Amino acid sequence: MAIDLTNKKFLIIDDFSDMRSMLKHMILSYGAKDIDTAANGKDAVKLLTKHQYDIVLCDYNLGEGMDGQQVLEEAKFKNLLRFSTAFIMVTAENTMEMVMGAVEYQPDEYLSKPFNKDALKSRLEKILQKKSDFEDIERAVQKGKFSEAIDICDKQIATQPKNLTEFLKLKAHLCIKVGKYNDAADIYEKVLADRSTPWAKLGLGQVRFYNGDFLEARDIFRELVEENENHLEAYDWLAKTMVELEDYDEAEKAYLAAVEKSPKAIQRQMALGDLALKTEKYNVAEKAFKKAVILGRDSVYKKASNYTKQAKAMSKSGSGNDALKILKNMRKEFSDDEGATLQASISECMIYKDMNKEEEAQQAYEEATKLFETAGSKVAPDVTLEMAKACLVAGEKDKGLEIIKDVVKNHHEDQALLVEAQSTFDAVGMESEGKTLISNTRDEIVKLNNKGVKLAEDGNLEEAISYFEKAVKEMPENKTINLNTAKVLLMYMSQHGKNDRYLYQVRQHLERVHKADSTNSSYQQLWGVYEKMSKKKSA
Amino acid sequence: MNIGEELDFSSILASTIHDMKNSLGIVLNSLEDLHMEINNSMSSEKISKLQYEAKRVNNNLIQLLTLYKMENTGLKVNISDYSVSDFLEDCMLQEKPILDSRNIDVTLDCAPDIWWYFDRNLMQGVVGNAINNAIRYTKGKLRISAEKNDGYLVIRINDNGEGFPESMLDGNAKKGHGVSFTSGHTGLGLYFSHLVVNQHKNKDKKGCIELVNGGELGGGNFTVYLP
Repeated sequence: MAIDLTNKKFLIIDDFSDMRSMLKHMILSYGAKDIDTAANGKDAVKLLTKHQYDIVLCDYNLGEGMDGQQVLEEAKFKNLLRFSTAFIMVTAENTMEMVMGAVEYQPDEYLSKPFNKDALKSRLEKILQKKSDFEDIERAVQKGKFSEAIDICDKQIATQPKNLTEFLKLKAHLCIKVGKYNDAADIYEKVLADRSTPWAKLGLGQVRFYNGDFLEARDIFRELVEENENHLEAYDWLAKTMVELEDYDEAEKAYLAAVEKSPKAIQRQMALGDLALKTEKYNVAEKAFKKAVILGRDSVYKKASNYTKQAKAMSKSGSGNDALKILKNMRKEFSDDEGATLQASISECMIYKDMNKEEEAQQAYEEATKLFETAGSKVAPDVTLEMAKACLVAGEKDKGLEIIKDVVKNHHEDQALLVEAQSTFDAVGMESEGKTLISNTRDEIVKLNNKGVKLAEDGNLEEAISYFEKAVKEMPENKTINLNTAKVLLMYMSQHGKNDRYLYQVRQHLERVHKADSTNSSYQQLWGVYEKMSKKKSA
Repeated sequence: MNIGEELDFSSILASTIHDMKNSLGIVLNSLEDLHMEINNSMSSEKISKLQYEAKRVNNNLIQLLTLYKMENTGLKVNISDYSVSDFLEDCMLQEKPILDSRNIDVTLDCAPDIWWYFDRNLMQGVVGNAINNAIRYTKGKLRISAEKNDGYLVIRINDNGEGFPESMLDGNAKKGHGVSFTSGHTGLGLYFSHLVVNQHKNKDKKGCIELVNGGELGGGNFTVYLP
């Protein structure tokens, strides 16, 4: 199917007006008529929000303000691009930019200038052709339907296309996403038998990581960075692996090496900062979060937590007053964000405590408490744990314990969060009490869940339903409980016929899980059942 | 850059190169447009010369920047797999304005199902450079071909000119061939090409370049082997 450029909508983003008009002229010469231009990232995002483009040509260097990568990140984050939209990054460098941000936020292609009109036309046609080849897969992926996407890949692979490797690469990536690690490994190993291809090696490393073979993973990632010291993703994975192996020094080294080569990748700065806070390397943490704050200004990654973490690092290094200044700035930057204000007051409370300023600490604590109560369930779990810590530090032990218990109840299988909960206890010298509370609460939930599951398995579906409905009210964020509630409702309906009220409930519970974890495979499976059920005739 | 900020050469280099590339892009583009407006052959020849030289400046810029990076930050060789016929078509299209203005007859000979692993941007520099050189020496014909052979991808840029001088033929040439201001060639292009191609490895095989005379068209035959 030949690609026709004449009916496509173009957006040109370049800070240099001569470049904008030159590109516009080139595109006009292809017969296209619908061409918008923007001179900076901000205007570009405005246009992208208003219109749907087929092709975006964006210069990486846009002068002051956002750069091309940040424009892309914002566009993807806010879903401003269609599956079929081609985002092309124009760079002055002839060496392809290595991945600077997350893999998900890469442009469709890098184009290096100067290029002439015929070369550009040919490239555009080829990129659009490729996009159209992958459109169905992209659509499925965007909707979180990974199994479907894999099926489409398989169908395409069966036709032995010219670009077979591209489909294999994508399939392997999707297999990892849904936990089919062996299938992914098969693909990677086959490719590697032929040559030591970086993407296949990285993929194999990821498979080892997810299978818990951390030593093997470590070796693979180490080899990768030896083979190419600019392979940024490999550093990220090496760092993650070293964290699992509890070699925090090596993890930090890996992040530092990557950050040196790609200082503008904000997420990496954040990961480095978090690690440094954990290992109490406050100077490193401060530097990383400071960078994250600066980079975040023009980016969708602007986060209140970067400010509070920077302040924490500064306070721990003894610069309490400077830390407070940072928080003051943060309050200004996030003036209409209650969640951010809550974080600010919690942080201030902790910092004043460290400075032995009891009165100010108490004031901040009271502000935090008020905000926390009004915010209710909207508060993210990690901020909730911070609130709990503030309570414990302020001497309100019962309240703090209650809050932490609640977090554990709602996330009893989230290992990372449980570790954070434990460290909250550790930080206030309640290590063993914390261990007991967490494991007891976990056991409680597991027992509770198992009891409900048994009811269902024994065929007492009505009892199971009311049992789980009660449980899910107590811990509305708990994925397992939500999934099982949905499951027993579906089981009931498969026996007694569908009813709208139950269908609605199932949907509520599944959507809650999906919001928290879009790749959850149980969710995928139950959603399929739900869709089938909703299409049936009513009882 | 702000006054007072430490002058860091690599950021000066990066922003200056960006500037120069923008200017060159406009020069080349304007020349293309101009060429279409001109009808008489004397002016056409002059424009063609301008295009050729501007392209050379651009190539030198690319090569300089790449070599600087190799020295300082290590070369970012980004190997991925591409359709070779698409790639060569691109290289050819980049040179199209000059090829057309000199009425050079170009054939592209590469099966559409050959996909290979290489750094597309860097190899575009290598092939582009070879084509530009061939343009200078060809007597009107150019043949670009690619095929798989013994575990290597073999790319050939062949012209029907007088061929490479004895001193440059493999067996005689030193790779880091010195500067010769009289011939106007600093050998930079060849040095750059060798470096880039050598960076392409697969297990125990390494990429290399061969300068021979002959080939299908009988002139210079710039040959690249990529493992």
